[in-house]
Amino acid sequence: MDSPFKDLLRYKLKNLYGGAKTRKDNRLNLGFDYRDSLMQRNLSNHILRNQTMSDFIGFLNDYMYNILSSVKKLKQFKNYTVKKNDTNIR
Amino acid sequence: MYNNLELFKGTDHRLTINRGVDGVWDTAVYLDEVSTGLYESSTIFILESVNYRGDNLLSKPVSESTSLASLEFEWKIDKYESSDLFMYGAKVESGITKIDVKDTQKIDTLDYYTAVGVDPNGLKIVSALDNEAIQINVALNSSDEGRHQRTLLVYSNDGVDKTLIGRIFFYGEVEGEDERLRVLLQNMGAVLDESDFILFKEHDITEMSPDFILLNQKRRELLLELSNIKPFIGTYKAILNAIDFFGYNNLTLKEYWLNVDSDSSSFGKLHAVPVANSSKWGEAVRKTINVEVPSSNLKKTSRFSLVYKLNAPNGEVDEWDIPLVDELFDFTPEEVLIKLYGLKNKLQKEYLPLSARIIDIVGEGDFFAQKNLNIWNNQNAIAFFSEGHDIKFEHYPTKGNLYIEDISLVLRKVYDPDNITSGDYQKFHDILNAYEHDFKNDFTTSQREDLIEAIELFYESYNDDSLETFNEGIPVGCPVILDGTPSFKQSWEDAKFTWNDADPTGIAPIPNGTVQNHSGITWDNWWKTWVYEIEWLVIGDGFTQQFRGPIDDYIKIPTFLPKVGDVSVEMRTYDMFGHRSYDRESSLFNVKLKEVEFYGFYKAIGDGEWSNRSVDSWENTGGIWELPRNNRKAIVDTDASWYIGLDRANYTHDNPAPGQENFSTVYRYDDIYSETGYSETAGPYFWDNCDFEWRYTSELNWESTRIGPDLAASFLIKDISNGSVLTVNYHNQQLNVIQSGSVTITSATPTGPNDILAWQDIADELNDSTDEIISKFVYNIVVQDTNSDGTADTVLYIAGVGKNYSKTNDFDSVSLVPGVVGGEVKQVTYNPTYDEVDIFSEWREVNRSTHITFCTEISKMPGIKLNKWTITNNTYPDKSDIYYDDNVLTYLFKYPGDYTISIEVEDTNGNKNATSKNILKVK
Repeated sequence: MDSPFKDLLRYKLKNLYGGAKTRKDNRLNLGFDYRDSLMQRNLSNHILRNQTMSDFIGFLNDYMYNILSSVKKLKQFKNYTVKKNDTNIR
Repeated sequence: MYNNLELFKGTDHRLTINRGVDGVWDTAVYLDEVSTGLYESSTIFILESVNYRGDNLLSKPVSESTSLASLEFEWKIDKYESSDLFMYGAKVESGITKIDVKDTQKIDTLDYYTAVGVDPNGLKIVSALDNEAIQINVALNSSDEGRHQRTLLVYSNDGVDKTLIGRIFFYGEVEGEDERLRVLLQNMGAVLDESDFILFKEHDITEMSPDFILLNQKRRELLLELSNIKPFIGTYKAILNAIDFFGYNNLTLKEYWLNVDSDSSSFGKLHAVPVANSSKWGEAVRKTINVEVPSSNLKKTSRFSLVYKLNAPNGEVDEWDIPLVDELFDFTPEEVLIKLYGLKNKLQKEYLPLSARIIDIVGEGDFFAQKNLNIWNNQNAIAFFSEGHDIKFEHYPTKGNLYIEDISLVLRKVYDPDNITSGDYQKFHDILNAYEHDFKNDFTTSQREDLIEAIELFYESYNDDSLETFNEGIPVGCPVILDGTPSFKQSWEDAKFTWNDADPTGIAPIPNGTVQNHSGITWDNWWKTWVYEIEWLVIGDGFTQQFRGPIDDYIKIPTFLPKVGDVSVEMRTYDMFGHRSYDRESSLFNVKLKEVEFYGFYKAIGDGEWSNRSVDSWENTGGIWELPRNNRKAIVDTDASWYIGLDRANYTHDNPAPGQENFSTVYRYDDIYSETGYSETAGPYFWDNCDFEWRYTSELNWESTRIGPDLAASFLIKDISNGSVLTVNYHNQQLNVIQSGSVTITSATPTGPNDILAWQDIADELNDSTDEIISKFVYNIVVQDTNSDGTADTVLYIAGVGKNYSKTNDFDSVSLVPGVVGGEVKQVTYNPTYDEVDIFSEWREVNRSTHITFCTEISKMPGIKLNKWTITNNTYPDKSDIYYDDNVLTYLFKYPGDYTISIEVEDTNGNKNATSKNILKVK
């Protein structure tokens, strides 16, 4: 039987090829990374104990994170010299 | 299990295997980044290290179970797995090979018994090597950009147990369109659509979807390069940068220029000139073209061409020093159609001015050939081998004018035609007969030898001989000798070989077809240089002579040129190598005719008075008493010939027709009814024709009006018998005595007029007489066919006629006893005599009524056969010209005027000549 998350969580995978180019970077003032903790830090662990709820909230987390980080992406929209999914944005 | 498996990612590299504590090995495959919509594939080969004959080699995995075993592949169920990574194979549907996506795969291994044991290193020992790998194809294709991963599990399945033996981790990233770039470009007014992806040089035309990796890169480049293109749209710079932008660095842009120079040979033609800086190659080529653009001779056409190279020199040369080239394969034919035509449209649409067009796409190749200007300085000995011969010939006579001559005068130099017994007569006429055969005279060898000698002697004494000739229709021609001897060096010093070179001991055929034991060269023939025949070709106006024969006989030949004018001569030699050599000399001879001359004469007795003559003594006068004339011209100085022109017997002519009577002469004819046995025509002087006045006849006497030949003495014996005595008295004028001669007939008396034999016997007896007087005459019987049966049957008389027209053969009286003799006519001289003739070659004034004879025998022109005389009265032009065709012109001039006498003549060979004289005045 296929996994229920099949093809759903691919976006969470880390970029291995691009990471090789920036792994030595030492960038400052990039702000706190809420990528994996925005919802988890604002919700009770009680809610998160349910695996199904935890997985669902994980999707919500990502959604909210994207909303928050889109402000940063506006800056890079006109900066075509960087990748469009570059995260090193203040 | 399967501890010795080896995995390979295609042919790129061996995959590193990490074996875990659970006995399962792990490895990872990282796929190259790929654009959304495109495929990135990887082929995994699985082999096993085995011991084959002591060597560690790779083999298809060998089952580790005695049962039929296989390797099974299936994807691991994982939270992060991406189904966009998949296994695939191939399937054929309706004859078309298609991709077959597989969720699992099961591939058999080699039979367990393939291995005969295990070596100390744990490698299976095989007796036969099967190195066919187990192949797994994995591809990544996704419409979602981002990361994709999936793990492939490898199982060993022998039908009983299914055992996990390994895991293969696949990871790939997919890049999608960077929308930022498209928007930014659009903001700047530039467009690089997804559909433009096929234009890029780097793009693989076999891809079915846009390559966003390439497109994103190109859009970034365009953003950077746009400042060099956008402001310069419509310029060379824009289009050149655009071409470079699309990656076509090796593409040359050429512009067509129209030649408008009407004086140029290329007028109206197009010149393709590389646009400068389009590429290094284009600039290099442009420099080599000697075309200056722009110029007044070349007009801009706004037509361009895209030129790509098919090959390029690789710097190496072959054994002939011809540069080698490598095929560039920049563009396949499909790429030309898709990319270059797409680029052409893109450039025209967005980068070229409106009027400019790219009219063609050209593939150019460099192909080298060797074009050498080789100069050899060979040290080999060069021998000149001249085919044929250098023909030279001489001719004789070499100088002086050449004339048509009387050939008999030439032949008389070696032959005496009057000597019948010596054979000269026959030789003389044989040559003449040979020559008269269409002038293509080819003589025998002996005739040629005689003629060569004759011609040489003829010209040696040419100025000493009189060369007098006057005969109609005689053979005439210009004698010459052609000598081909200069073509052949006959002195031994001229021989460019030694006698041993001639190989006189060899074996070779000789010209007569036999074989003899030497090379054919002898002391007598070496100079011939293998020439066996000589041909002479003599070409003049209206004739061609051709002589060909053996070299010995024809190296020097005589010939007679029959016609006047320029004559060309060609000498040809034929040798045994098949060569014909020749030399032709045009206008070698120029043959002329000798002048035609004529004179006139007439009888004139003067005024008949000796008192009007200034004669110092009677002994010095040339006249006789009856003719009081004093001819002081020496006979040797007389132009006329006594035996031709002055003897009218040569040109008797009787034509009493109106208008022709003045040409007539006295003509004698047989007349049995005449007392004398003959009668005569009147000649020009008869009553009705003498319409001149009496006073103009002062220089005529009765004898001079008889225009005819001399009259011989004659008498007729009409009856004679045996015993008759014929007595002839002769007046010897030198002794001034009468001498008598007689003969007595002893022959039988004729029985009658029909006894022809008896009459003939008597005539013979008279002819046989030895009497000095009797033998001055010749005696002939005159017979008549009285019954008209065609046979003479009746004797009329015996005619006795003086043997010559002179007083020597005259008689004073004749008697016959018994018998009858009659019809006595004494000799009378009617031809002009020295005492009375007046001969003139220049102007002369005469009385009307003067009969004048014009003759041409003094001409040196030989062989005159046709004369055409013309008498023109210049004083009275209304008098028509008078024409007369004969050798001698005799005419009674009755009318006054200044006369021109003209003559046109033609010789035996048809050569024509003419002369004219204002020679006469009739007062």
